[in-house]
Amino acid sequence: MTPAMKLPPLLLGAALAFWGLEVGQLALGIGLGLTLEAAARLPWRVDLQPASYERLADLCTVFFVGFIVVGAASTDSPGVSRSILAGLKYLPAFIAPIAAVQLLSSSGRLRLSALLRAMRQRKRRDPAARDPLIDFAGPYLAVVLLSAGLANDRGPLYYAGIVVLAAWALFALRPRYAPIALWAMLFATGAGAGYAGHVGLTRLQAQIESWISDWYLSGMDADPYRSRTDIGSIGRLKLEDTIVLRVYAKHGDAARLKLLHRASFNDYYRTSWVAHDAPLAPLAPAAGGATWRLAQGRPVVSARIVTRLEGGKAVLALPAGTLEILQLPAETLETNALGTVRAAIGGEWAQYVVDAGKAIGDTAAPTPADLAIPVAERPAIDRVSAGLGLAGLAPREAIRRVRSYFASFRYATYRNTPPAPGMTAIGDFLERSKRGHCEYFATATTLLLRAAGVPTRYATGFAMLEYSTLEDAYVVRARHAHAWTRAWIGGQWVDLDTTPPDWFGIEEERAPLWQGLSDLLRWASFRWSQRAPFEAGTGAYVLLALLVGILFWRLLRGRRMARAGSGAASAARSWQGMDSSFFAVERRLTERFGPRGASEALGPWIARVGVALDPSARAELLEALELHQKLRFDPAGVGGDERRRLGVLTAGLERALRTT
Amino acid sequence: MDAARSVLLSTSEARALFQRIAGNIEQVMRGQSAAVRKLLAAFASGGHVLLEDTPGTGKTTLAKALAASVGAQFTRVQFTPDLLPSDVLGVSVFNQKEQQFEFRAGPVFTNILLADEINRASPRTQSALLEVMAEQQVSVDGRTRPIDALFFVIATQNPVEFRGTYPLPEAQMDRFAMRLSLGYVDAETEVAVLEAQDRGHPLARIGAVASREDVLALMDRVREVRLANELRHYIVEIVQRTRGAPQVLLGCGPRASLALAHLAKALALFDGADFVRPEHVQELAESVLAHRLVLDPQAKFAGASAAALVGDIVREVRVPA
Repeated sequence: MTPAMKLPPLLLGAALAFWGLEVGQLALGIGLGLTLEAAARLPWRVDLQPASYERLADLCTVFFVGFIVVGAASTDSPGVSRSILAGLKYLPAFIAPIAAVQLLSSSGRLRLSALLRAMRQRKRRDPAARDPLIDFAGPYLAVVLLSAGLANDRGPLYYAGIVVLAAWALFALRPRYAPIALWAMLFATGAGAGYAGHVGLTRLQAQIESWISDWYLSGMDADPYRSRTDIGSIGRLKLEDTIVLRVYAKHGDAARLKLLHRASFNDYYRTSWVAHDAPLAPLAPAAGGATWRLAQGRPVVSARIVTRLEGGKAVLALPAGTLEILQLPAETLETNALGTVRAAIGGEWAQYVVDAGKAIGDTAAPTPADLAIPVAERPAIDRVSAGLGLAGLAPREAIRRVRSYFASFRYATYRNTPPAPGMTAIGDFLERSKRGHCEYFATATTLLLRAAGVPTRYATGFAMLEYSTLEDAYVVRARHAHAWTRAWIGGQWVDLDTTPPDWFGIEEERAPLWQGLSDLLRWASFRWSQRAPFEAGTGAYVLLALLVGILFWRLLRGRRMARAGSGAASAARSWQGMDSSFFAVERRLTERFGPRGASEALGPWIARVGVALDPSARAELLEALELHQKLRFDPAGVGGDERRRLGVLTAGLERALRTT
Repeated sequence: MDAARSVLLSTSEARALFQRIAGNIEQVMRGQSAAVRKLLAAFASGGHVLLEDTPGTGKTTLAKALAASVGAQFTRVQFTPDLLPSDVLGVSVFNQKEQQFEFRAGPVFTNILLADEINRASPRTQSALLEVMAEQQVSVDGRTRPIDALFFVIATQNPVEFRGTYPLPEAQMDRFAMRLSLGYVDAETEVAVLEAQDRGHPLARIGAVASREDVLALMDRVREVRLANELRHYIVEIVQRTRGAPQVLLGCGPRASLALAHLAKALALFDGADFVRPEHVQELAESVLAHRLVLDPQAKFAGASAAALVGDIVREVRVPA
């Protein structure tokens, strides 16, 4: 960099103050800014050895990494990525010492190797390797601005600040031949385009998020009152392979956990199922506050379920016949008459243990709503019902006939034609296309059984079908979302799934090729996310201490190696007699007679400049030189007397040279 | 070896001896004290010297003056194209009376050998001599005969005249510890030379001022001069730079570093010092290093000289102070 490209005065200080404002540490920002600006303006300079720069940079790194590790390992950790983000936000404070020593140095630069360990290693191998001097102030300014951006959640202030600082920096660099007005106009155009661009991007992101949120981001906080189905939609159902649940259960119990129920609905209206007349009511926890009893009975299966929350809430996925939810420290837990359980838990993850009995006992007995068939669907339902002779049949026989009727139907997630005119989507499914996905089967079954006089509900949840040997758990993906029917048979609710059993296979075929890899990554991130709430404590701090210890050890070791290594290089050596007091005399002589050439030996030089001195001073000078050279170049060294004599001579010479 | 050498000379004795020989030589060689210093340093360090200069500058006179100053055996060989190795080393002759071969030692069996115009002899003869210089022994007829501990070769050659000469190969140049040029003296000194010769050649008037034993003791004393590690590094850095210089095809080897260190010790002793100073190294660098360099022909053609190159290197390397 040429001196012309130096940062304009006060820019760094202003940028740091701006950074402080953005990250909410205004005092720190202003303090750092003042310190650095003062460092640049102080009249005296401090030059550190290259090794000291390296040590300082390493120390800054240790503190920075330590900050991130402490943040990530603390019990209330927001996660590793958040800790890194927080660390980056404060990066300017961590590396400010490097900027300060550079500003204090007389060269105003620092070696690139001070910042990059890899470069130092290369230099150790090959001392001739290029190691350019860099001006750290520019990169530091960029770091300050980027860090300020990481903290930005206050809208236009950040952009305005960036524009002002950029104008400040660029104004000093503007081409002198162009009028200022033209420069200002171009800069304003650029700033405006930048603003339009970033606002546009934000809008676009919001739009895309709203598009994908339906099937990806909705997480587990489903609407317990309404289930909008995809019945009647044209096109392919978009199903994600994201893992939404992990179920840890014995293999023997898993067979009973095939369907994990979340919400039931009793009222079908225009392709939507609604929970009619079933408000959620809070449930009081049992003693301890983490146990929630939903029904009475003897538990036969048990499972631990881990789920991701959205906004701290979830409609819980529960196996049929859930009696108790254990180890769930929820703030509130609400249930309704249809067996829907919603918990407000807080955080990103929830895990709970479920004990389930044989019968579904957490659901209220049927009401007239469980027999209602919407008017629009009635003609088709009646026709099919009449064709099957459902009216007046015993529930089990009715179910058998409905099942056999659907045996010829096919599972499909793709529809390319709308329903025929005058037909509803369900009617079309039942009488014409005979193909559809689980929502068709579940809705049609629910309505047909109602026509047979069996109270039914439309149940939604997940099918637990995939066991992961990697995770040693059953994993439930977003695409395993399922719908089925709950029928009231013999005085209790029974889950009834009429979707052809090959649906799971068809779904699996659509799993992307990279699912294995993405599952591995998901598992890793899941394990990591579970670490804080479940494994934090002394272990984390031991780990942290170990890590910091290793970092320090590596640094110390590196330093020792550097010290041993520099012994081979003559430049870094300290030779005997370098503390000779004669050097002070040499400095005085340099002041009077000009400097000695780098290759001019001391003897000839003294002989040359000594001519100008008076004879007594010259004699003293030659005697001092003799002693100095003995001190420096005689491996036998000098005795104490000679050393004292040299001290006396040089002190006298220094005085004499200063006064004359 | 003998009693005189069992006691090490003191620094002042060594210096006095040096001064004595130098003073004696300077009676003959006027205005050449710098060259005499270096010559005596080489002499005392056991290194051989190549005197290279234009005719008439006193090369032979210098060699003869040194020989005359030291009461040691001196021989002179005038190198010619028809000179054979046996003329230098010696030859076995059949003795009719004794009915056996007897060895007639050649001129190398001496203490100081003046090899005049060495580049006029055939490479074969040059090699024979240079082998003696390196090995300090002569192998003839399957017998190895040692040469006296005091063995000093002064070779001369003429740098301007090349017709009928065999320039010394680079590998053999390396056998000489130093190459000296005398150069012309100033007018005043030359007038004094003329004046001195009015009453006959001064060479005839000087006598020996040191014995062979004195010189051997001096050589022992040189080895005791101390050399700081820092100056060893300085020497090595200068020598190593000759290898990396772009105009150089072949730089100086470690033998050059050794010679420079050893000669610097002798020069320090000449100055009455127990230890080497950087200026001693600087003073000798050109004489010790330049003749060992092989310059790139293009650089040579462009006017580069080995001596100037070494001078540049010495000026580039930071000197310890």
